[in-house]
Amino acid sequence: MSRLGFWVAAALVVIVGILPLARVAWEGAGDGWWDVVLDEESRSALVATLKLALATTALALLIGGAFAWLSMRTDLPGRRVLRTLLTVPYIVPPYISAVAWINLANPQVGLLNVLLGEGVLNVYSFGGLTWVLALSFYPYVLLTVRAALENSDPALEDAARMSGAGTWRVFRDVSLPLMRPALATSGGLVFMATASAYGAPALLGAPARIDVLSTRIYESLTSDLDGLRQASALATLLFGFALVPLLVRARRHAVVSGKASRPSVVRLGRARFPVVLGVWSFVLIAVVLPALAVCGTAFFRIAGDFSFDNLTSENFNVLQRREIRDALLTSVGLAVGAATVAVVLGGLVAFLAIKTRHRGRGLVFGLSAIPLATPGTVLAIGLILLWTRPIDLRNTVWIMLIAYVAKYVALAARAIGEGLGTIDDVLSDAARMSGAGGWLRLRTIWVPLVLPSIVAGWFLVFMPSFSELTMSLILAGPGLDTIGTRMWELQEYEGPTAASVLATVVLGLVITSNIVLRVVSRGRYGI
Amino acid sequence: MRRLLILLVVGLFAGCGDDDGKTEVWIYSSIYPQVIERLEPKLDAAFPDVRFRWFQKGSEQIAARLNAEFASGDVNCDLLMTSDPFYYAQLAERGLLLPYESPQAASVPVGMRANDHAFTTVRVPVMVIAVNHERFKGALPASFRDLVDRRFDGKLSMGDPLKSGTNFTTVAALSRKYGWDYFQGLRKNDIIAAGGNSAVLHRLETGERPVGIVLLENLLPRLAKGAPITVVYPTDGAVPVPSPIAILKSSPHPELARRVYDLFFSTEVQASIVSGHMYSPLPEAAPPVGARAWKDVPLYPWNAEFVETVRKDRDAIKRRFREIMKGG
Amino acid sequence: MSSTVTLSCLRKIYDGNHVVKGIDLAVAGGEFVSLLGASGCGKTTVLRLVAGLETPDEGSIDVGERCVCDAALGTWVPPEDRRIGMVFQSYAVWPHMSVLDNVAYPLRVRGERRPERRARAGEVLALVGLGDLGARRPAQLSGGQQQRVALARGLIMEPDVLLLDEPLSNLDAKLRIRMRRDIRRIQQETGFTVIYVTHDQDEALEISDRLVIMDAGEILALGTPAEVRDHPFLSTT
Repeated sequence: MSRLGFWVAAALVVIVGILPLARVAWEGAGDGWWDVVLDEESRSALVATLKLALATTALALLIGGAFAWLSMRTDLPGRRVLRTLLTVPYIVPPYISAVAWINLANPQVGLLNVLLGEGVLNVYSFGGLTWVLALSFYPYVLLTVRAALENSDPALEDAARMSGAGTWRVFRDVSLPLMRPALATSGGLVFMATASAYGAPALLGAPARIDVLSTRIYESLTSDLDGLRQASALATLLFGFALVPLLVRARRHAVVSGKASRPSVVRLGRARFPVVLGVWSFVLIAVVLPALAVCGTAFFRIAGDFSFDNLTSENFNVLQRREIRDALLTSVGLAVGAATVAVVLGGLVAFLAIKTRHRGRGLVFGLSAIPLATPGTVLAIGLILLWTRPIDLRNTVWIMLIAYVAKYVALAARAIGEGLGTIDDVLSDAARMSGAGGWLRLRTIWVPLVLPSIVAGWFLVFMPSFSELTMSLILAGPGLDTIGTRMWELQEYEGPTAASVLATVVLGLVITSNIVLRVVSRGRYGI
Repeated sequence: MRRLLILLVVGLFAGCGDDDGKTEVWIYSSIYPQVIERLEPKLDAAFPDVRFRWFQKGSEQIAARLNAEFASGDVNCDLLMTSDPFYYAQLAERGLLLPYESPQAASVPVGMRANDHAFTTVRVPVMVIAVNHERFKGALPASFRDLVDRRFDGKLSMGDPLKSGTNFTTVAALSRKYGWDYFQGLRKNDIIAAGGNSAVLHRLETGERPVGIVLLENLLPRLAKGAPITVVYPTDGAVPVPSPIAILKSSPHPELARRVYDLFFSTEVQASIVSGHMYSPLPEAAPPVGARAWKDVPLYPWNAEFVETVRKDRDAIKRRFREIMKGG
Repeated sequence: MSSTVTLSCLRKIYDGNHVVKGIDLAVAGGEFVSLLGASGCGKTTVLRLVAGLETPDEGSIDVGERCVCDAALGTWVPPEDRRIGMVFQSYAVWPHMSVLDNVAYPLRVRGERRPERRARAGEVLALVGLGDLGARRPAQLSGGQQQRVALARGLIMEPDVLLLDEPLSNLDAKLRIRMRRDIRRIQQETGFTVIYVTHDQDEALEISDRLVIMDAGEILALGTPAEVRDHPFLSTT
């Protein structure tokens, strides 16, 4: 089974994610490659991308790691509500959240600046861009670490407490080392996703005079007939970003060893008050305010005029349009499909990488992440180049499904890999010795044990697929428009208020279904 | 769960397979979705045997997709209708367009047609100045030239010419007219050049940047909604972005494509286009609702020579603009 | 009900280290054989080779008439098809199942119906002294109780051969003595073959028909408790 599984997984990863990129790289190969890569502007974009990715990763690790631990391991009040609230920034599409942050923190009339004094906060800065990106990506860290912690044994922390360690020491000496593999993995994801992000760098980077590779690539791809060559040369630089996280290896500890233990929590003690204050201030500023800024805009006729007369519900009339409802269905179908396929393929890749000794397993695991580090524009172009002849998938739903799976499968693979990493092989061995074959072990032992990670991985893929924009704008043929492309269309052709209606609907829809899921499953599943 | 998946997959397959034997004509276009909605019944009535397929996205995405299709050697597109005239010039120069002299388009001004009829302007967005008069209380600018005045310091925004074709056209025109010093001046006024026209409009409405260089077509629907915006037709010439229609040389049904091409210059279809807040290239057509008559709009002089020069200088213009904006 | 187990020239190499150095051993049907030695002597590896959780680099293993593994011929029967039960040192109870479901799992694998397997699991739980804890989650059990769950899961299979890897290591002294007598009693009643790994010589001497003393991947001595009692190796450990 492992042999067959390996070749199936390897073939799928290569066909879905690597061939299209190889096709693009091939377009760029040739004499011009070095000219583009060694160009002064390319080099400064490369440096800026690297700096931005590192800073964003650091911030996302800080936010995501701290909240994962606090909400899973301590007696922080309201931690259940917090778990859902903290995923909200991931539900807001990145391009919408960038606009929300422009509303909140532009130096002239940003709402926060109106409160704090003009020009105190400037979203058009390296710091501002880092902040906005980190808010979009810290949920990678939060969900991956949380799923890993869910599996691990709180007795380890209890032991530290019994040895006389305070809250901080328990965190530093026990929890942090336990979280380190998950932090390393999810940090790698943030790093790659930041390197390829387009929306926020385009909107915030230009006024901040920050040029990154992804915006340069977009510029060359979208105007000039010869731009493909230049773009593909620049994209090969980004492929390198996918390799960086592979260099960071943290030692893994199998903490679900087959000796079961009961969950318990770390009492915050004296730290309780300042922690609660800090957590809820963060939630207010980073979660509630931007969400309000998005939803709020939906209820005004003219953006930026907050008078009572300007209130209206007529923006919501767009929801009566058939094409909007069709787009909603298309997006739900595609995102469910992409998340499910990504969880299966990613789970297989992760299983092979972590639980078998097959040669080349690490390579497949690494390859699966390259599309994540590649700007969506490049991937979409590669898919068109690849799927024209002999099989023409253009303007079908399949090319979009492939695009989403390719781009986001690494999120599922890493999240599930983290979960698998915490589980001792002896649990599967015991099932073997009970006579259970491969599929039965998968079904009765592995899947139930890594279910928290599978759910996290599914959500991690579902959300960005649901509101994906960059690739869909190039791939969505007639009748296949998605929420993302319709949102873009409303923004482009009908002004700023109409698009936020759709963002509001997405937000409401996802949060509601999450709550329903929690209630129906009695709190076992949900994000 | 499994049954749901099967249903989903079957449903998706069923969704793509309504092959009724009609000839398919593909139009890649960046015009308003509502305009297309109005056009569709007219096209279907005129061509009962044809199924029209629209790839309806922004000019930039269409260019990206088309470039990929050229590279893959199989172009889906029959008719192309996007906004960036220089892209068409490049396509024509490579011999990728099928020249056609439409009798219907005879009255389109000479400057807005390619010399060899490889493409013809089918609609004319114009770049103007807009002021949020509730947020900007000073004297209104009268011209593009005025925007370098220090009273607009921290008030200005425009689209990013590196990412938006219409904004590139504007920069090409204004840099030729006033030289790059002009943009140094805008830079000194801390202009924000980011996103597309919708981003400019957003900054305008929220008051973040109450003065903007933006397309008239983005402003008109907002004016109708009561946005506190004054449109300034700059006395030194609004920048037209003559947006062409062209037939791809690779089109498998050129004759059909020509007839569709003709139809786009009919009075009826041109009226639909005008209802999408753009000017018609036909001199006799009415202006969009809420806009000045075409003859009363001072315009940057557009001609084929300009198009040719800019096509060649494209990279240099972008590079120079980037340098200026990056510079302190 | 019971099978012989025959190891011939069994060799296992990890990264160039010879962990098991050509072991020959014949265990008779219904016999209780202990592998005794310090940690790292290769005894657990031998057990895992018999189980099929490791593949030998050389040699073969026969269970009853059946060859389950022969490195030279490429014969390989996967562990789940060897009809061998195993109890792990680290219990390996599944945290996501109740105690009863843990114990009933081998029957579920065999496709027995739910009422039957639950009834049988209840009986075996009673046998190990956990009769009333079937509905609990493993996390609610003490270490010793979890170890007994693991033992019950091994017993319920009624395997031809049962492999026990230090199954009593986490129990307190009193319980350990009681449990090893229980294991011995059950084995004698049902008559299956046992290979038992331990580093506790008193335990091994009391419980086994024969002992295998291992060191550095080799068999130092082999015999009944009476025969090996005075082996010098025992007094040094």
